Parts: sequence; C-alpha cells; structure tokens
Amino acid sequence: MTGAWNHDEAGIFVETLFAKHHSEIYAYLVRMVRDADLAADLTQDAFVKAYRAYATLQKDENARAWLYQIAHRVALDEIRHRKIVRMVPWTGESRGAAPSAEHLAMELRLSGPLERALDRIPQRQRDALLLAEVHDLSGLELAAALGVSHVAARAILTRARESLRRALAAEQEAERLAESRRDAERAASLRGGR
Amino acid sequence: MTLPFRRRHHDNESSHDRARSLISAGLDGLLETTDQAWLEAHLARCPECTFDAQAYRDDRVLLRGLRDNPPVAPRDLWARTSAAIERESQRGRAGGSPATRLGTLVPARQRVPLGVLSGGLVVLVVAAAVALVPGGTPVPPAASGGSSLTAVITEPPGPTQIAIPNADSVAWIQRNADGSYALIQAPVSAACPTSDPACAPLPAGSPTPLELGGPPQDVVLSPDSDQVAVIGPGGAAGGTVLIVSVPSPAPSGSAASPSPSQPVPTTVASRAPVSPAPPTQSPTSSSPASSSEPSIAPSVEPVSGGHAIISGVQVVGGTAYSASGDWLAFSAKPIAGGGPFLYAWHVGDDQARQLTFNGETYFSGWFGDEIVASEVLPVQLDAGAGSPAIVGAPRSFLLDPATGLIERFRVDTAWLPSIDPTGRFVTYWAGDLLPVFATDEIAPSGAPATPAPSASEAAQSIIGWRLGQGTLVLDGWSAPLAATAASTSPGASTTDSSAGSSEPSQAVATPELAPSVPGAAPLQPSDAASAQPETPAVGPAGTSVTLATTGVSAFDARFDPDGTKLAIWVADGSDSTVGRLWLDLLDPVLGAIRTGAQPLPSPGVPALHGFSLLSGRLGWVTPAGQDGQLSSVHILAWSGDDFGQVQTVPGGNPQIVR
Repeated sequence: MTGAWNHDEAGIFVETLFAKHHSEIYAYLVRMVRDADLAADLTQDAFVKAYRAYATLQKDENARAWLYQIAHRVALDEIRHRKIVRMVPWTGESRGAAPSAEHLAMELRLSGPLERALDRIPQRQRDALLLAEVHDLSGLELAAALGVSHVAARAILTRARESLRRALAAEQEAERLAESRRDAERAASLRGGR
Repeated sequence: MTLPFRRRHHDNESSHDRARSLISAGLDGLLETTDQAWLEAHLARCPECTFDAQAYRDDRVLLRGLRDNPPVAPRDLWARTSAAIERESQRGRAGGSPATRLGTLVPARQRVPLGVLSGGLVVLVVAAAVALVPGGTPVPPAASGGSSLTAVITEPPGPTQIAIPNADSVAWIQRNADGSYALIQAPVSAACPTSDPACAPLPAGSPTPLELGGPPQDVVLSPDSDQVAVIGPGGAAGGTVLIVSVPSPAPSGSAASPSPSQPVPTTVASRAPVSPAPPTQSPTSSSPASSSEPSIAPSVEPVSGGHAIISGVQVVGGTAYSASGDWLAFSAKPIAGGGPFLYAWHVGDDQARQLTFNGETYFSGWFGDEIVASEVLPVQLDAGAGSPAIVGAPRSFLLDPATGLIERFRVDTAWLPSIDPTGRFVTYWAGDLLPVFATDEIAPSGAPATPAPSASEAAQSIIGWRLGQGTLVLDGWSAPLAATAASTSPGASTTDSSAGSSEPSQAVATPELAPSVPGAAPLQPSDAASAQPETPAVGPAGTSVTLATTGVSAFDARFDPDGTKLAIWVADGSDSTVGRLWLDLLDPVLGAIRTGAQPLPSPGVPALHGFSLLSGRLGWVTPAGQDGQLSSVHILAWSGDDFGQVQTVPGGNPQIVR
C-alpha cells in the first residue's frame, strides 16, 4: 500500500519500537512524572499515539527521537492537566486545589540532593538534562524530542547545567547546615547526659 | 542568565555567559577550535568559570549515575499496550487513516518475538473494515502522493448524527505544501455526538488563496464574513493590519472537483490598496512527496486585494470587529516607541485612527459598539529590606470610538474584561500584573514582584506586563447594554487616574484621546481632572466566581452572541501559545454556571491560542503532537442542549480565524 497508512505495517513497526525502547521511555516518564503507575499508563499512551502517528514519521532513523517527543508531549499534557484548577458552581468554592495523595507520594520519593535539585529547576531544563545526560540523546535528537531547533536545544541545555549547578550548590549547603545542626544537637545531648 | 540589574564585581558579564555556553557545548563535543582557544584563555584568568566548568563535569557524573538503576517497567506493560493498540486499530480501520505516510515506505522489518499484536491485526483488517464502518464502506485513505487534505475534506458528510441548523460557519488559514496560504470557510451543519472516529471530517467550502509572507499573527473575520483583517507579525520594520475582501463561502462539497485553473491569489503583503496579484504557482503543482504539508484545491474565484489600514506597528493582544461590523479595533505599539495605544478603523475609511496617545492601553473586546480596554498603572511598593518592587494595577473602561467618550469600571482590579453581549455577565482577571523588563526572562506566574533598583530606572525598562497574583473570574455585569448606552454622556468620562489604586507613587496618566469626530476636542488628563467626579455606573457587579487560579500565565475568555456560553482558554505555564480550552454553560435566569455534564471534558481540551466562538459552534486548533498528530481544526457545535464534535484531517498548520 504505497504511500497509504497501513495498519499492519504500523502495528509491526510499533511492536519493534516497543521491544527496543520501552524500557528507556518508561524510565524517562518515571523521571518526568515521578510516579511509577502513572508512568506505565503514559508509556502505554505514548506507544498508542506512536501507532496513530506512524504516518508522520518521515525517517526511520529518527524513530527514537520521535518516540521521545511523543512521550515528552504525553507527559507534559499530564502535567498541564494537573495544573488547571477550575470552579464550576456559582458558590465560589474551589475544587481540585488540595494536593493529591499521588502528589504527596511523589514528593516523598524525592531523595538526595540531586533529585531535589532537579526538582528545583524549570521543567524544560530538567527534561533537557534527563534526555541528554541520562538517556544519552544527541543534540539533534534532543532538539527533536523537545520540539525546538538545534540551537534552542543547546541554549536550554546550557541554562539547565547552570541551573542545576546552582540548585545543587544550594542543596549541598542546606545539607551541610542540617548536618551541623545535628552535630550540635548530638553534642548538646551528650553534654546533658553527663 | 540575563536577570535584570544583575551585576558582577568584575569583567564583562557577557564573557562569562559565553564561557558557560562554551563549557556546556564542550561537554557535548560541539566546540570549534577557535571557541576552544577562547575558552581556554578565559578559564586561565577566571577562577569562577573554572569552578563552574568543574561543577558541570561533576554534575554530569552525578546525572549519569541515574543510568545505573533505571526504573523497571511492569511486566504486563506490553500486554496492556498491545491491547490498547488493537482497540485503536479497530477504530482506525473503521474510521480510515488520519494521514498519509510521508516520504518513502518503511522497509520490511524483522518481526520481533513478541508476536502478540500483528496476528490479531491481520484478522481484524477485513472484519473491522466491513463490519464497523456504517454502510459497509470504509472511508478511503487520503490519496497517495497527492492532495491529501483536499481528498479528505471534500468527502461528503459521513455518519453524522446531530443536525446543527443554525451555527455560523468556521474559517481557518491553511498552509499549502508549497508554502502558500489559503482561507477556508466551512459550514457547520452536523456533528458527531461524541468524538466518534467514524464520523466524517468537516466538509469545507472552496479555499481562497492568500499570498502571505509568513504565518499571520492573527486573522479576524468580519461579522458579515465579507472581509478578514490579517494582522502581520511585527518585525524590525513593524507589522501591518490588512483588510482583505473574501468571497461568500461556497457550499459544502464544492471543492470536490479541484479545478485545473490557476488560482488568482489575494495579495495581502502590500501596504497600500493593490490590484489582484499575478498568479503564482498552483499549490497542487508542488510535489507532496517532498513536503510534510498537504495541499489544498485552489479557488478559481478572483478576490480583491488587501488594503493596509496601518503599518509600522506591533499589534499587541487581540483584534476584533464590533458586533455591527462597523468597526475594527486593536492595540499596537508603534515601532517609533511608546504604547501600546488603542486604534480603531471604521469600515470604509482609508486608515485606522489612533485613539489613545499616552500610557499603556490594551484592547480587550467590544460591548456593542463600545471598545472594552484596560490600562496599567505601575505601582511602586516597598517589598521589604529596602528593596522596592513594581507591580501593575490594572483598570478597565469602555470607550466609544465614534465620540471618544469613556466610562470607567467601578472596580480597579479588572484586567482585560470580556462582557457578555447581552449585558449579563463579565469575565476578567482580578489581580495585579508584574512587569516584563527588556532583559527579563519570563518567570513563572505567581513569582514575587521583581525587585528594581529605582522606580524611574525600572519604569523605563518595562516592555510589557504579565499576570501576577490573582484569579480569572466570572461576575455579573451591572449595566445592561441599553442602560450603558443611555448613560454615556460627555460629563461621565473619566475619574482620577490614581483613584482606587494602592498608593501608586508613579501612575500613568489617563489615556489621552484623539478627536474622533470632526469638531470634538481630545480629552486631556486636565479635562479629566476638571470633570465632575461621578461614580462609574458600569462594571462587575461584585459577585464573582473563580474560573481559574494558580498556574495561569495567559488567558482568553469570551462569550457567544446570546450570552449562554463562555469559552475559556488558559495558557500552559511554560508556553503562552499552548493551553487548555473549555466551555461553560451559563444560565441567564439564575445568573450562574450550569452544573452537570460539560460539553468538553474537564479540565479542557488542548488548544492553541486563538479560538473562535460564534453562534452554535466553538472552533479551535489542536497543538501538534496531541495524540501524536499534526494540528487540526476542531469544532464543538450545538443545537439546544445537544453537543457534537467534528474536525478536519490533521495537517497544514491551520490557524483559526476568529
């Protein structure tokens, strides 16, 4: 079926993509949304959307970046979805403003200065760092995944590195102060016990 | 970083920024020899940047450490995914393919040993195609190697189930494969009760070719659908607002047989009245295989040329015709500086007329034949610790472009209000604004007010405003249309510009108005001061309900002509062009939002900025990438309390005409 969208071909193609890339896509989505169950759902969504969008992939060699782009959009959509707070009744009451249990669980999973620092930098920069350093996307792949130009992707990555450096420095300083406080409390406790 | 007022104790800040950029590029192996030499020389004399370079390398090691323990996907992920794809496959076979695979075919692939999906797919091909398509005839895929959009949008209406007898047509700008543009108008006569993939795409009338140098900033259709205002993006030389006559929309399906004739494109790039431009290459003559954009069948009907009603400006915010179609209004910044100011164009005049001459005035919409607009008062606040900060206090008013008379709102915190055409509701941003400086990077909404070294220095470098603390609200409107028109009088023009603001130390003057009718004197601030003080008669009733709050960086909220629907678009925090759109149903008797089932799923559907809400339908464009698809025009149409949706085939970078 030259030039036409072929369901069988799309199915086989996505099956192949899944076999090769589902682990890294899932890992990326876990890091983006910090919720394993949600990330699994989003991974499923991403591959279904890849199946639907098969016709838009122009070169097979771009498939990995294309898949990351779809997964990235799926996750951003979910994140946006959570941000909107709406009020329907005429009473002035809000709905959906309280943090969800899922959100609290996500917060609890944060551990270590690196993850806390990553959480402090802008979403787009965090995504760029994860894609480039953890998922090893090249400059062109990163640009495709983020949906920006190559030059813009480089600029985002530069800002991301600087943001992370500052955020990590702040986290490390906070940890140092906390450790000093604990040492002081231990010392005070020991003195009190004598 | 280009934060305002940042100072380093030594050296040129830009050299450090460049060094950091090159350090980062070096990590990615992208450093050229000359840059490498410059960086090494810089690092040799800059311990701070040397420290940063080492920190970048250390951070990279930390980040790469995350690779060591990747999260493990659930075992049943493929089973779930393949089942979902099978469901998708069944729907897809029933509804036809959404797009044509572009470029070369995928070579035959080695099957992977998962084997769950494809066997089922083969069986489903025949069964689904025959059984699931109403009438037993599958919608054919787009023609290969040809005009895919034309092939699909000219399909006769398929299994639609809701008749929409009284909806306005919808229009959009479509980009052709050869880079040219066309205006497409489509009647909305039927829609699917749900987003049924088996439903036929929206049938369209004949495209009207438009010769644009690039994607327009905005396109607005007149109420009589006989002309469009094309707002060009303002570059270094400024942009233009052009009025282009358009033919009446052709009946549905008229483009089913693309004519071989050459189109006569409309020239809208000119800054003066022009005659129709010579023919250009037919959109269908390009090679679809070499482009990702679909083609559109050209119209054979010549159309009149574009007419620039203003040039050398950057239009800020929205542009709209008055309900009568007699006026077009917008706000714009002249490239010479200042503003934005209000402008209005009376249909038939040669040029748009500038209505305000100082301060900053932002067009928001129309209420009858009165312009609804807002201005900003920069207010210097003591942010503590001796660090002053500036916020913007918004104020809104009605302005009659025919007489120059204005009526201020009774509340001082309304920004960009939109008034229900029947005069029962108003929606607006209730809160303050934060300045955007020339060197600013947009910070997230809700960030603290920006510190500034001094009010005068800060005020000079403010280039715009963004939403600060506040909420988007719906309120009652205190004066119906007829009463408002009657209350407009020369004596009730303005109030003190600082009245009601939170102790502004620097307030802009009341907008200075130009004489808009022969013999009428411009209203000066001094006139305003000497006018009889009078409590404004119009404005929100003070019974507001919140529509959206945190995370709002930009919004657009408008009512339909009968005041029973309110469409609200809220931008995503990180991108002011992409957001979510929803529709609230209003009960004019109770003065409330109707509860119960919403016509669009909560919390709204993904939409690009710029929707179109008219009688019987709401139109918007989906962002590319949604469901892995290209952008497409979506329509929510209604007849009474029955709602349905219909959409175009994705592709062509459509831009909705408002």
